[in-house]
Amino acid sequence: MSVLEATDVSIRFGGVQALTDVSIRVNEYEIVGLIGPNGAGKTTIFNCITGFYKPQQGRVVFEGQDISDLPAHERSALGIGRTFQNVGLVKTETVLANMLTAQHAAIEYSPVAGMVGLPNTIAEERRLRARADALLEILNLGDLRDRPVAGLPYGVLKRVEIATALATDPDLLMLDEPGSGMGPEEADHLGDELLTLRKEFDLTILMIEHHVPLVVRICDYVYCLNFGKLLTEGLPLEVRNHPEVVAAYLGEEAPEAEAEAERREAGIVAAELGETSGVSE
Amino acid sequence: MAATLERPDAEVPVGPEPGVDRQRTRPGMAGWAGRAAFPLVLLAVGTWYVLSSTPVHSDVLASGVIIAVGALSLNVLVGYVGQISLGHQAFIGIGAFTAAYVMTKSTDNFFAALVVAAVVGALQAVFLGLIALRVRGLYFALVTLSWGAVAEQCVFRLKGFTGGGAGASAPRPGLFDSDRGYLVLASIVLGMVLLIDWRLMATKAGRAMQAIRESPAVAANYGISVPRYTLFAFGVSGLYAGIAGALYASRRLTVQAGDFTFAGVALTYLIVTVVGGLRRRGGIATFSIFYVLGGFYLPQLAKHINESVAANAGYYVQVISGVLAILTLIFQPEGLGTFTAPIGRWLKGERFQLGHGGGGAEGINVRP
Amino acid sequence: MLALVIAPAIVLGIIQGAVYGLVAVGLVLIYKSTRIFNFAAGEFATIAAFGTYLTKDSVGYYPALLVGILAAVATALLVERLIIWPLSDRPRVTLLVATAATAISLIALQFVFGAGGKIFSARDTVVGGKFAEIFGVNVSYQQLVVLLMLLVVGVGLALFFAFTDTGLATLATSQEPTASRLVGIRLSRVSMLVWGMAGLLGGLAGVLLPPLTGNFTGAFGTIDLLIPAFTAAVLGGMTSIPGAFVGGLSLGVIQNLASFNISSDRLPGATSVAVLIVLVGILLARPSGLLGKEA
Repeated sequence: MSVLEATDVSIRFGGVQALTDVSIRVNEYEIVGLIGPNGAGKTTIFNCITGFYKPQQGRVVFEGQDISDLPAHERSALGIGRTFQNVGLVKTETVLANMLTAQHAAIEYSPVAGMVGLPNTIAEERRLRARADALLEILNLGDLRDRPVAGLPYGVLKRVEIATALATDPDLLMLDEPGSGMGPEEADHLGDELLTLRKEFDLTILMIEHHVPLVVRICDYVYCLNFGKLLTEGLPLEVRNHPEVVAAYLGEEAPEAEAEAERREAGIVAAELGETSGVSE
Repeated sequence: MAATLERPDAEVPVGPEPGVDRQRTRPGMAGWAGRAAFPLVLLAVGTWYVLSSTPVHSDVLASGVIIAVGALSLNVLVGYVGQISLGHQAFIGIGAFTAAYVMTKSTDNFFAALVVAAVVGALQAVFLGLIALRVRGLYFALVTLSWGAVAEQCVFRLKGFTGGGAGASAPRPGLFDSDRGYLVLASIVLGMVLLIDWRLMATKAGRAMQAIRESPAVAANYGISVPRYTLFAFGVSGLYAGIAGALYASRRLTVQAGDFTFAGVALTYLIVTVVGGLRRRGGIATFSIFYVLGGFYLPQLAKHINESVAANAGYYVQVISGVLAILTLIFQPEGLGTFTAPIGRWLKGERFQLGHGGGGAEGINVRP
Repeated sequence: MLALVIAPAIVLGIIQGAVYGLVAVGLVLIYKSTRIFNFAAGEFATIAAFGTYLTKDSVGYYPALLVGILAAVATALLVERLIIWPLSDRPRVTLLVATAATAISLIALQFVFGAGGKIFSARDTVVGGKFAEIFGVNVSYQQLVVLLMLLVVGVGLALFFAFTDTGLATLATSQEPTASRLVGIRLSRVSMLVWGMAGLLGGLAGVLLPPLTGNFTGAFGTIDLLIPAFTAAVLGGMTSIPGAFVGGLSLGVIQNLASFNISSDRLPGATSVAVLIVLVGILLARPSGLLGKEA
């Protein structure tokens, strides 16, 4: 069963055609990778799926429902959680405050009720706090509960962001470069974490990543974008070894790239690709 | 439920940071006694001051309390949801004239007038908020500037509403007629506003506003409807402002168009909010009181020093406040809140320590 | 009949608009290069007026004009060095609040020195006497001087930005501060230059406007000039200098049409209402202004 289907999405900004006929499908419980050089349009397609951009063409269907005309906050409430390249947290507030904010869609009481302090709001707030604490514990972030986000290191913030994304109770988790700023060991551990989270929370994951080893290891399916178009799709190893993908990253002619790949061990090339990470689109 | 994930040795260990983390120790009996004593001592000092001085002093304090309410109103827009308002004289003045209108035209029940003023203030603000949904941050500031001018030159001079240039009258409620009594009333109202504001920020609406201030994308990702909560923020701001206006009207007993100017109200409230500390209720309330006391005592002090220096000493406090605001922005974005916020946390049972961070002007975040 | 009601409004409006245009260009210059909304711009004008007022009896009117303008430039540079530059890497809104705080400090300072509640006369003119009668309106030489100043400034700035290295550097920093730094443009110098120019323009407005009405009051720059100047700048999209000129002139005309045709019994403060309607109209319809280019 498909959880997400983006079909023929095209969007232009002024004179720039950012995406052309991009189609992505994510099936239930899959971890799907989205790779491509910087500027390929990966975050753009994310923004089209979450509703922050309105594409001129294309439809987005989530769990069987056409959400193409829904505003972003409603899509999120339906079960799409996402992280951002630049860490989408309220930086002046604490980790706990962000966890509480993330549960916004699940809160039953009205804003005015909260303002006047009706008793059911206080009970609800306690429940939210407990859930936030539980989630933070699972991700080993409990110690950071009362720390303001602003002071924390980047790698930690990426994981806090995953915690807040989980707090929105998503069916689909869209991660924008969760491994950026991480070394190979940390990225490896992130991979373990994502696999465990998928199991614990029945998640489906769509992930933009530059860490090719990570993608190869945990993804069930991979799409590669380049210049706003779908370059290729398939199983991780197929995509990684696809000559045009290699060419897109290394910038060489395709036939030469093929020769290059034959000459070197696949692992060396992968290591070079794995190092081109952390640079934002 | 789910198992805790094993972490290998992280490269950057992140544990409790001494001095910055809030210690979750529970205070003992002595600790709680001290914490209870603190507000009581403040109250005692305040009461002594009020009773031992002339009614004029109470009137000055009342004006400070009213400024606090007005600054809290501005704080909702600038501090919580990240919208700049340079026309707050419109919000306050409309509240004041509405209260006066109600009390001259129908009932002379102050509390009814207060409620109407609050509602009208909220409605006026929501209309402005509708524009904020379409117009980006800094440009919206210009719209508020222009709206303030329209309020000053047009709305406040409409004969039907405000009595034109002559102004309108606004009596005080019977029980709180005296200056000292009115101070008590104003303080009670301020207390209620602080309470509502506290609950606002501790629940979903306040958190939604802060997320919007951070970025609409983050807010939407959290399931927050940006238009809905932006308008809600404007409504709350207008509500507080209407209340401040009603209090203002009855304190002065008459309201005139010239009472609400850009420099006298809008800029003053902005300064007070910034120096008090954005999103720092305690700092804002405290600086409001300092502001009026400064305005009252500095001229007297100046007279002692030198007659000629004292000529226009009434404006000293504004110059000083303006400079303080600039210094706050450059050096200490949390303003007075640097000190009042830790006190607030202390009162709630935590250890007293400075340096929590994240407050004040660092958090202004408006699309350029 | 129509001509009697509209024509004087247009003539007066153009002249008043020229003053707005001068201040508006100063606003655009600063915004273009640093993305700052300068709310202290009005007080540059007030300070210039006071500078002239205080010295005209001792040094004569023409030198006093220079003193006034220099006072405005000095103020602008002080503000830039002490307040703007230390905050230059902060969010733009922090700077907005800082300039607003600067404005009130400058205003309060004037009042501390006794400007409160007084009207200061300003009867001297650059050139006295009536120039001509146009559509029944007496146009004085002073008013012509204002128009001329606007023209000179316009042409001068156009040449500056198009043909001088410094001008190009200023444009570069507005679009790409980091890249500009990398190629050796001193942002600090550009900032001082731009603010100095804004001070000069505000100063010109401040010394040229009072003689038109014969007097001025404390803080008149903020009260009378700031909002129309900003609206004029927005009309020009905040980034276009010709747009600021056209915006200023248009706004002056619109204001005068409003005040001529709507009596204050029917609607007091009609000019401010007109300005608000124009501002909101522009921002809702074409956020990039009539002539501007930024998205």
